[in-house]
Amino acid sequence: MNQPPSLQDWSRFVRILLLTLGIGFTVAGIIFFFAYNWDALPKLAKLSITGGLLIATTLLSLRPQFDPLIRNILLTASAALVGVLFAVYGQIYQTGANAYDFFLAWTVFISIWVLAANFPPLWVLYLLLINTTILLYADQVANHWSDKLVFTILFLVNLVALIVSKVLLKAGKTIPTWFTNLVALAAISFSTIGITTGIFGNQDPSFWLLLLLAALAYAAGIWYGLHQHSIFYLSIIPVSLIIIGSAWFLNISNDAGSFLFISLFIIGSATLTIKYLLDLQKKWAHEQS
Amino acid sequence: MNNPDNHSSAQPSLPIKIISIIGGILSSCAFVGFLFIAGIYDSALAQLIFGIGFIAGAIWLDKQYNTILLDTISISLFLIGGILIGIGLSEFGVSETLTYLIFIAIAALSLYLTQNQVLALVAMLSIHASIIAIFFSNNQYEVLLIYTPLLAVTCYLVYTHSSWFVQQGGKLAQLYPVIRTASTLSFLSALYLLGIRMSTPISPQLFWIASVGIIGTILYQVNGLYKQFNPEETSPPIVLLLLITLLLLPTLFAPAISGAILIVLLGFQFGYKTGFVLGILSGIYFISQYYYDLSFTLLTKSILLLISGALFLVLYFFLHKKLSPNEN
Repeated sequence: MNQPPSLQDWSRFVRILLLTLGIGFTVAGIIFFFAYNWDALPKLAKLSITGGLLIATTLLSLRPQFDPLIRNILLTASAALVGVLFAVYGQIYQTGANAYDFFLAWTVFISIWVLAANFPPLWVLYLLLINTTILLYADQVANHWSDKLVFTILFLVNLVALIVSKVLLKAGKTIPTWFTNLVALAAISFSTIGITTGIFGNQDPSFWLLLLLAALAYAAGIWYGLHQHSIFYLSIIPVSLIIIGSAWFLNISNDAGSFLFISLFIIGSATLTIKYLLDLQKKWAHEQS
Repeated sequence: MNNPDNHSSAQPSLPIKIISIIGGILSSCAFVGFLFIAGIYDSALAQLIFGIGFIAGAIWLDKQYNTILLDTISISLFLIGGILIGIGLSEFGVSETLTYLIFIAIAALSLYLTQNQVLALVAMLSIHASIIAIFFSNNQYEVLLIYTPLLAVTCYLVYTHSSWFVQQGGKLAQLYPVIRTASTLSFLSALYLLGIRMSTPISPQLFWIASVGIIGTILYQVNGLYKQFNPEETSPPIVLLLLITLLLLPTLFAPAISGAILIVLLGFQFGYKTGFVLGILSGIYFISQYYYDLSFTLLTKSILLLISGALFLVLYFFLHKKLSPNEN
């Protein structure tokens, strides 16, 4: 995006904007309409309208005349409509299902589209659905799971997604960096929250498992960052470690002295990290020239 | 319109700057925890002196070394200094407004003295936060309706005049990316105040005041773009401007939406990815919030949504038909 956009870039941008807004508003309008006179509609009408809309969007996305990006946006809209259809079905027949069943079904049924379209925003929706399903399952069914176990699972799921993306990237597939960065951020947020919760709470086996997995993943991330010259991984891992370290110190003692110590610890460790990264950047720049 | 970011390949990358900001904020939080527990509240004078000392220390570190290496500590010192001065002044019974004015003066002075990008960003955002705090502490919430469009105009001017900043050389050229980030973040935060229901007690009936300024800025931008692509014409056809006004008219009582649109358009025009992405995400949020808050029945809402959706699609197909043959 560094060159000023040409007239063609603008027209493409405005068209995508209009199409996205148009589809978004229309779909939202239809959902609102049903929500309004939902009770008055016969069952069949409810299902067939939602289903019809789903089929129409999907068919439109198959039209080869459209720009690939536009087809992918349409397919993402139909992936969202799959969820609406399940919601409608669940409401009519009172399947008595838990909310997690709904998200699980939604996830499963769009899997093929996600794979076929291979459109990063659709993958984001997919991962979001998987994470939501796990969270709801833990909340509604697996009540006995500890917070740490839930965070361990969420960490693992996103970590696996990240590793798979990196492997595919290496195999020559084009995956935008923002996507892998987003997944990495999700994974590291879950490990950081999980470990911090564990430090302040009780340390059950899943806490130690999370600690072990995080240690392995962080080591691999640092190795990857050094190997691939990626400042991103070499930045998020130290930040996570600094937060975990501060939580650990705070758990040992929370008197005035320890707060002062933590304040200095954060400044010191952040400064050291920055110094190390700057030196690395210099070294890499030197190697390149 | 070159992107000045590209000239400075030796600049530390964004993740490094973010570490220094996060580190600075976290460590000053821990330090405030220390102050609370240690109970250093006995002497207001000591707080003031320490506060001023900390801020002076932050600026001195920058003047002396100006390295990103010391950013974490200087941001920490700056924030802790501000907190101490604030507590000290309130102990002395200084009014809130005067306290915020002093904050603005301190931040402006720091901005004048410092060369450091990250500290400059923190200082600019402190000025913005203090201005808003002055409106709010005096119950003058409605001023936000004037302040927000002023920020829109500021953003427009900052984005469109990158070459002017670079030509000025020295600090203005060096700080240009920071000025752009600060103006975008300030504008966005003002939009969030207007976009989140009940975050301010401003009567929604007055929101159009802010919208007029923001929509005017968008029209001015379209005007500039039109002239850029049609140098032989002096102004765009009135139909185009009317059409855009008509499209934006439904957002008359939701200035947050038109504001997000302005940020997206500016981000696209000047290749500023951060602004572009923030604008899109905020726009989605503002639109959802707007329809959620409308006190119409679901039927009216759905009709409104369908009409706007259809309008966008009609325009899309119109443009598609009109432009496609030229591109093939």
